[in-house]
Amino acid sequence: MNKPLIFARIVTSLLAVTSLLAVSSCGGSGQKVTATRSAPTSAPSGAGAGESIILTARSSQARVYSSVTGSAYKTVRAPRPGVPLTFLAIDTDDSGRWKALLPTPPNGSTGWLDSKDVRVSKTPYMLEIRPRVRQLRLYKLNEILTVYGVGVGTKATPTPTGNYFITQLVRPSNPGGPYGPFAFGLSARSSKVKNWAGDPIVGIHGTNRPELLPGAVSNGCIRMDNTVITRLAKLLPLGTPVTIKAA
Amino acid sequence: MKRYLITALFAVTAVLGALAVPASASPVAHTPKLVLCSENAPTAETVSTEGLHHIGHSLLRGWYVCVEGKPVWLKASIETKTWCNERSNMKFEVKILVVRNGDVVLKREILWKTKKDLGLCVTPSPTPTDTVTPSPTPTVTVTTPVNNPAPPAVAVPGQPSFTG
Repeated sequence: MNKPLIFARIVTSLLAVTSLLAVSSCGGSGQKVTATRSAPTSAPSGAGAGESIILTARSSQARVYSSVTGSAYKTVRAPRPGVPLTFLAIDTDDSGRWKALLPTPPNGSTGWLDSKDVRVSKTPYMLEIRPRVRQLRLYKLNEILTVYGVGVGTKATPTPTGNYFITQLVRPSNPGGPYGPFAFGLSARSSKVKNWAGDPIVGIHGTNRPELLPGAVSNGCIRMDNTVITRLAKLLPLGTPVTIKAA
Repeated sequence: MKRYLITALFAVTAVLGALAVPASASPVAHTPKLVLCSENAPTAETVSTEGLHHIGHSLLRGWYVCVEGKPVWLKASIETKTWCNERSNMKFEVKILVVRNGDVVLKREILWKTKKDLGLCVTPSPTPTDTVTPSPTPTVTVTTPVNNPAPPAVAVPGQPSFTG
């Protein structure tokens, strides 16, 4: 085994240990806070610093309005049966509508939702992915809890940058398969993956090839160690913001 | 070039002046004294505003500018909001577009004004659906507080179709 590979594996191991310690202490103050988020996602009123507001549709579909006063121009549906339809609020208005990131393409789509159509909740968590350095950072209230080494898209199929959110959590029937035991679906789509049979949704999931992590190895998805994705699956709500950075 | 700068300066000054108007003032209550128009004001400049950037609760009300030495009310398409909260420190970005002889000169000013600076924080009248929480200062209130944390996602069994 050559030196760079040994070093990469040591780093990966350290990150994994750190990750486990951090996630297990998310509810408390055990994990040392190392930094704050450099560019917080704007949160609408009603959310505290570092919190994001999640909008969950009261039914499996919701009408989307063009503006705070505009008319409905489309209907968005839940990503799959049994999964709540979720949005990430980015703004609000006294008129009773919320501006939100939509789970539908194109990436970064926004629209307005009627407050009567959604339930409102909040989360202190946020994920930031830095493909260039193969890192996924978990934040709580704008403070880094931990950093994970992850697999990201290759040069040909890069992980798309932008602001997204978690739209679904799937438990594959085969936890030893390529998605591992859990797979988060994001509101992001890959524009580079061709001949994809379905919706080219970018996910955050486990892997059956942990030896490839961290690295640029995927079709755009973020691959994690199975123990870590399992921890995150028990922690993060649908609607959790996910920022994929270019740098 | 001087005239460009003078006009832009006048426009910015007018903007700042108009911004200082209390929230309770209606557009008709504005008076020309806010506008630095004079006989020596630049003439025949087309001055317009563009891209009033607002994140949520814009409160800018519009302003006068000098066109041919006369105050002209530039109506801004702005929603008037009445309450403020921790986001009140948002920055208002105002772009001033100066057009002269078909040439466009874009003057951009960032106004580091807050709602409170603008005197636009007003205690709202609670509606039956609103929950109004007393704020640290008499003029700041928070509506629609979100107190319920979202629970962790429930995993559904299935086969992901993500790109992998």
